[in-house]
Amino acid sequence: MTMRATFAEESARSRSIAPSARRGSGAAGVRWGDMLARGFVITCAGVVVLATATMIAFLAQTGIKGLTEVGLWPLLHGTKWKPEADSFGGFALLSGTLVSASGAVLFGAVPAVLAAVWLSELSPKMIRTPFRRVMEIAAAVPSVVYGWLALVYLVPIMEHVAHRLYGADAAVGGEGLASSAILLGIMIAPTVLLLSLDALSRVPAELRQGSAALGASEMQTAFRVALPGAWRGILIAVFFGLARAAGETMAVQMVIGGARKLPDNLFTPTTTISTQIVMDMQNASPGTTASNALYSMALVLLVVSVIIVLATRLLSRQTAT
Amino acid sequence: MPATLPEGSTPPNEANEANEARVRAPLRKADRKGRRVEVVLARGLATMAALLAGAYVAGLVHLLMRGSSKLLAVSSTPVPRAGVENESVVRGFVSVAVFALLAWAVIATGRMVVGRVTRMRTADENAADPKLGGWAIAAIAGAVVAVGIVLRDHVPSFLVTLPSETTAGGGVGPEIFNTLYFAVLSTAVTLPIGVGAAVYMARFARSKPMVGALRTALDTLASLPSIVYGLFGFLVFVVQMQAGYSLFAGAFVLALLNLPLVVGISEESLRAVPQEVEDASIALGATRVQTTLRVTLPYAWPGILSALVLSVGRVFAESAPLIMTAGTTISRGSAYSLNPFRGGETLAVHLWYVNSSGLSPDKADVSAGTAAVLVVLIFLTNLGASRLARFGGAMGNKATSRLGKATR
Amino acid sequence: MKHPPIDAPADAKMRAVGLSVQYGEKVAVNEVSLSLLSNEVLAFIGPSGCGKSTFLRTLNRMNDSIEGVKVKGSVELDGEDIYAADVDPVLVRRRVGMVFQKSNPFPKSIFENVAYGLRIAGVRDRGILAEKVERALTQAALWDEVKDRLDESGLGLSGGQQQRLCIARALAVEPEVLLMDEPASALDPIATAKIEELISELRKTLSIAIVTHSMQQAARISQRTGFFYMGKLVELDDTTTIFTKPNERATEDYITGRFG
Repeated sequence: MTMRATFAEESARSRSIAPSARRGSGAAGVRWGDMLARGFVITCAGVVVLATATMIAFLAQTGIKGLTEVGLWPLLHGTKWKPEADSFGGFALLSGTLVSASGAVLFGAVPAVLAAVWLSELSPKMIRTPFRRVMEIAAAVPSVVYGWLALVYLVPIMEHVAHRLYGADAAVGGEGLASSAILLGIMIAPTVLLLSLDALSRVPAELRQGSAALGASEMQTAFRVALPGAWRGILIAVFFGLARAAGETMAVQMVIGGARKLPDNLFTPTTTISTQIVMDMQNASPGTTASNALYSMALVLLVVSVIIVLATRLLSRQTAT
Repeated sequence: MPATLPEGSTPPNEANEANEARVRAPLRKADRKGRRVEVVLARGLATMAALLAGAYVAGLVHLLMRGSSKLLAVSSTPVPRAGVENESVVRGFVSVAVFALLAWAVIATGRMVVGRVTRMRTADENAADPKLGGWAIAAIAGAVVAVGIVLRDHVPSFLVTLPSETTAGGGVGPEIFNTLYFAVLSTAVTLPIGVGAAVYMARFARSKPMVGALRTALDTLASLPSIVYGLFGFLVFVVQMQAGYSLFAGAFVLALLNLPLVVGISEESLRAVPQEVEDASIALGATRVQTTLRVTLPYAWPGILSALVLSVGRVFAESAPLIMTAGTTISRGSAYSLNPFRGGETLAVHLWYVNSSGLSPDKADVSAGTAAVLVVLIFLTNLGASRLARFGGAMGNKATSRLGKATR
Repeated sequence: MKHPPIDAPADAKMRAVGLSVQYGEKVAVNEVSLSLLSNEVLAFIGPSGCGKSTFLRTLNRMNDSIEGVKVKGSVELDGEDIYAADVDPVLVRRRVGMVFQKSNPFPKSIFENVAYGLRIAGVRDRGILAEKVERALTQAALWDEVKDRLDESGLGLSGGQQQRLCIARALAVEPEVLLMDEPASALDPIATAKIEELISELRKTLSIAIVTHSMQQAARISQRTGFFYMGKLVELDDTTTIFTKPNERATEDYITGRFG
């Protein structure tokens, strides 16, 4: 009893010298620091939101101005993009973007997914890490570098192919949708491959074991268990590649030829939305329809990529549940 | 029946017969239907994958080899100076960097070779590569700096001379400078805002609408094509503010472009900080903010840093938004100027510009050299990011054990 | 190397002779010889890490896919060495099925889960598939519970049902031997009882080797029991003998709960 009493006295005494545990009295400095830090962090979050809102608002405002001047239907449907003649038909631009991007999926994403399946399910284990490293570097190589390599090596090859297909005297060349689709395919393949590998690695090993125990070969397990098990993740990877291909600008500009018209075939020059924006913006004086229409096309591009991203998000949300 | 079979387990007869009827089911490889097709298919897939990887390796190696004539051209006679502001200092830095890279390559190879030889000699498979002591590292670093400064006019001229629009022999000195300067400028914006927003998301998020708005904003930013950022920068800085092309505008746009990446990875690293570590700090009487500043952030720092390094890699690689905000030219007078309100192109933009509107006769070589420098820079940042990520694991454990001791 | 004498009757379904398994440096299974008879349930008991699961997995070459695993000795199925160079492990597994500790139904419908092995083996006829799926599910005592929802995902079943689905899946390909690696360890007592009942029923048509951590379970369902310790098969005898008067001191210690 006495012991306890001394203890209580002791602690009562020490409590009186120790800084008060109550807020505000002794620890005012800490509180100010607290509030400052809290305020800073909240400001940062606000800045991000505000900057994004401003950006979208600015673009939408100018883009909608262009839309009202040109009209949505003529902008999407017209085939003549001639700012000097006040003709703003963006169909060639839009189709250039869509065709190159879907071509990229065909030439880049499909082989990348197959290679990912091979690498994660069938390949000798020792080559997996080096293969990954190569793809990680390839995925980080700037797109202009790919564009330049394509300009120097791919375009001459495609020119040769074009003349093989259409005859030596035909008005075809290496620049055009074929080159840009292959270039974009090469560009997105490493990213698609890496993301697909991640998706495949998330398929539980137990499923592969279960399949093997039923007498499935590695190939059967790869294509009947691993690939279906990872298909959502792989689809997300492909959509990601598609979005990147649709938004790519400078690399495409280097190989597509830059003609503001619908191409006759895959081997004649044409253009894409992003290419046309970067080429024309330098010359269009601000406030004119020529300038505003470019913003409208940017809005179209934005809508295209937002649709792709929304689809991706929907898929990943379903995966989560 | 063998003696080991217990009583009562005599199998029914029909089952026995069924078993015997199936005895001849094949086991040999040659007997499996479809095995041939699978072998062919597997070979096809392997070939395709090998071609894919081979194409990238071949492309990159080829590019580096073509560019190497520009990158390795050390000159015995001093490279003439253009006589512009800061040129000497920039040359010093480039020179030190080149020699540091060389020293690192030599030391790394040396360590690997010595390590391998020891392993072979002593048959000890776990023998580690030899390590350099702190003094040796300091001495080498000092030597590199000294040699770099002394020989700063003898580094490959491509790396330190001004570009040339019409004549052969142009370099990429200002482009290298701008590229790195962009990295610094945009990181200066991304770091506080990105980490601040990440901390908010990971630790202080109270208001649901705010979190929703922030997530939506980041999702939107992540989904926008880079050209759209360029348009925005162009509209705000060049058109509205009539400030012309400037590094400032470019850096701002790049910072915005990198925010989703930096916030995303930083938030992930912050959330990966174990609850126990934070609890330990709280239990010692620290406030939430003190805990965040002194425990959580240091713990997550390697992850945050690797996000920043990755974002620097994107600064190096991006071209379209910079063309629209910082322009495609180098003005002689301000080639190495630290003034952020001047325009200027980066390596990536230069590579595009030389090919689309350059008139110099050696533009193929200049392109190869520029691309090689760019790829080397990207390679180094990637290496840095992965090193940091690995370092993060080791650091984290140390931090835990130290804190564990402190609380005990 | 002389192998310890094993009882290897002529009608043994499977027989392991001097079987050793190495993971890198570590010897997981050391010179084990035993035989699995037709229509018996053979249980393996022993403390965790004693090599019983590893041994079980060698019987249908499931260890092949694990890196750094070396198998020495031989395993015979109806007198044929399944580790011979020209033997296809895939075909071995079609005859020697396996059920795992953690139920692992595919993220497919109940029907497709059971039909998987048949489709793999090249069965395409919808009628045959339906018939064999029904038979397998009936054998696994699951048919009545799932016959109205064959198109629903196998993942929607309860834990015990999932495990029986996995058993049905293994039965559909009509294996001659079924290997079970602690099939009931993650289940509640009622689900466990169902699985045990099922095992006794299945013995009529095939041979079963089962690894279990529960000695009571081994006593309830098996005819013979082998005791593994530190990678070695210490003792193998009639289940009643093992549990009432084992020959080895180690077995007795384990059974009476002195270690493990």
